[in-house]
Amino acid sequence: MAYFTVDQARSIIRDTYAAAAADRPAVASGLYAADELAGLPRGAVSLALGVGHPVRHAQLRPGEMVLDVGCGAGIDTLLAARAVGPAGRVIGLDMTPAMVERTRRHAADAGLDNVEAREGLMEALPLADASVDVVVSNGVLNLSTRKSRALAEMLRVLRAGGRLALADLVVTQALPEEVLRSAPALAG
Amino acid sequence: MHRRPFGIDALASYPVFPPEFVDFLRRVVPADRHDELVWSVVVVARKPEGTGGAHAG
Repeated sequence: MAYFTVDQARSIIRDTYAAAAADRPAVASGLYAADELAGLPRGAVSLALGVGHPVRHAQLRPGEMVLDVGCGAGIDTLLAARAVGPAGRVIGLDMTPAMVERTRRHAADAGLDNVEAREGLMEALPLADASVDVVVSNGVLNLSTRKSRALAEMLRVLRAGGRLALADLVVTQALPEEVLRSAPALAG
Repeated sequence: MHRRPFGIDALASYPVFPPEFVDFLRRVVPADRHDELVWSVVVVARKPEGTGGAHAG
């Protein structure tokens, strides 16, 4: 059952993440190693809102082209950019303009010039077919009301033999309906 | 696939969940699920070789 329309859901999510603010790396310190976080801009670390470490599992190689779907403030984008090096490239994509700007700024602050931050929807990725080697995504697919569409888009932009590393939350038992109807549960 | 449990305490560390929502979860979710409310998973997959772009459905 859909408790929110597509437009309602996107509006709630954009507003929630645009307003997100944190002054400590409570989430990041539980997901990433200390040496990974070292040298990253404070804002990228404190606003890490993922639920796993897909970049670690993606086994990125120098020179690869990577798409980070739902990049947020950019922590996974920046880690991927380090991994693929100057011969590679990372596109951080987010539907929230404030997060796109944060990723752009954090990449500049980190001295990474192989990063492009781009605004867009995961259900309509603004990339050509078979244009990336790897897609990563961290705690984002659950925010889509059209998950199959989003996954199909990730598949479309991957080249043949390309890899997907996706982290998200799954429910193994039904949650109370009051939770499912709540806006914070949708956006979080 | 890699996975680990996510409880209410873990969710409380995310700034996108206001304190009042965390309190709400503690009230409406049965206590025996507080430590394993949801699961975090990482899925890794490879697109087969020799395939073109998919048609989005």
